[in-house]
Amino acid sequence: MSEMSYRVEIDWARCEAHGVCEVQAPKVYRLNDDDELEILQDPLNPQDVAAARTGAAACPMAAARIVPATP
Amino acid sequence: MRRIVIAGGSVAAATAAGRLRARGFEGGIAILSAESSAPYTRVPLSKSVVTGETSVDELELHLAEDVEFHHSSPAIAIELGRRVVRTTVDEHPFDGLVIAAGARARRLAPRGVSGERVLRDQGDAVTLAKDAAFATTAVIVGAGFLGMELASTLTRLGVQVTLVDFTPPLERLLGPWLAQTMWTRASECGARFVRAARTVELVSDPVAAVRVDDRYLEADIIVTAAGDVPNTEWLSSGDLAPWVTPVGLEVDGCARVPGADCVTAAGDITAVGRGADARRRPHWTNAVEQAQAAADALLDPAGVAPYRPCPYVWTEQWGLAAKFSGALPFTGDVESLLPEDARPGEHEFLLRWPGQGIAAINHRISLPRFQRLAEMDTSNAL
Repeated sequence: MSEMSYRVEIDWARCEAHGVCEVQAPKVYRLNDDDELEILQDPLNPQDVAAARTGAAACPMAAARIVPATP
Repeated sequence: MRRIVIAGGSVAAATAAGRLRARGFEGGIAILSAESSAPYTRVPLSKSVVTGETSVDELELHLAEDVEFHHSSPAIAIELGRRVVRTTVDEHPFDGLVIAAGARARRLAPRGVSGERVLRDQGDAVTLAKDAAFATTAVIVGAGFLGMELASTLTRLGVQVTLVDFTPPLERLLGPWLAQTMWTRASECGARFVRAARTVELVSDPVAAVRVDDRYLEADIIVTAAGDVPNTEWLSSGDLAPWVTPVGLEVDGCARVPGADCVTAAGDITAVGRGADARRRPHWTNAVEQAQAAADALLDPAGVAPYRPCPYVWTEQWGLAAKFSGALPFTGDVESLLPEDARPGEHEFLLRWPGQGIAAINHRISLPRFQRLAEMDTSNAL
């Protein structure tokens, strides 16, 4: 098992629930019925890491980042 | 396609790089940025950075893996024949190119005159934060989104702010109903507005006052928030000169620069369309979506389709978090979705202008849901 594993880290103090991340990566980010952000994968599926990064980079508040998952 | 160069270093550049990797591109990606720091979000600059609540280190937009980032390396020329981009430092060969060199703040003072503040990059925000600590008065020329956000922030810091513009604050952008709502709140918070009829100019060096027609407004801080200017000068004498206009670098609906199949562009430097029809879309969501379209067009030239711009903009000021989707400005009759009888000056509602778009003020609604609502409305109106 050599594949690096990643997860989404959210700075909850900064998140304003714009939802730009969900538009970019709906398999990873979702705003629930109360418009609170939920992370749907932890750790991220390897095939969704790139989309998760795109979603994080699109956050106007720079509240999301992709970090190595601690085993 | 082995090596893609991205000329620019903000959200459009970071997004293009991310999209290339997300679509499985394994070649080289180099970002050539004019700025001295990694890509960052400008959104908080006019708000929590000026107040000091957020430090500039917290704004970084994290790049995809294996992306070369060259800071302080503005692109200065493109040679399409050799397929290289030259910077002030060196040159970079490319198979595909994304031009995302952005825009800069428009200035009113003549070149060489000091003391005029603007707000575009991290350094501008830090300077204004320092100014605000010692200031009691400010004049902001330009009462659009940026001018009003900054006015709100400075007011919170105890500075008496006067805004100057030729039309009522936000009215050209939002239409009369929403503009009146926002301004009612601003004036309750203590903001003042001076409407210019003929002339607005900055006076002395360093700038110490603003002349508005026959009046002189003196202030400790004088800020110009009168829009931005696309950074196209470096392209205006090269191979892409035919596509450079005062509006911006012209691209088609797929973010391609016409006449050069390996060149795309995204973000604030671009104008979508040709000639008199070319329009800028200088907003966050467009930078993101257009950058993705640019990456897609490079990787799959045969499969491209015009991206559908998400007409979403938002602003936060005077304690109001306002979101808009549609063809701003909204004019004519408004329908209130929540509450049933909203009036200008109230502070929480969801509204629609049939066939034009929707607005939410202090109403928590995520972008996906907001967009679904907006699309439902436009399709109903057809």
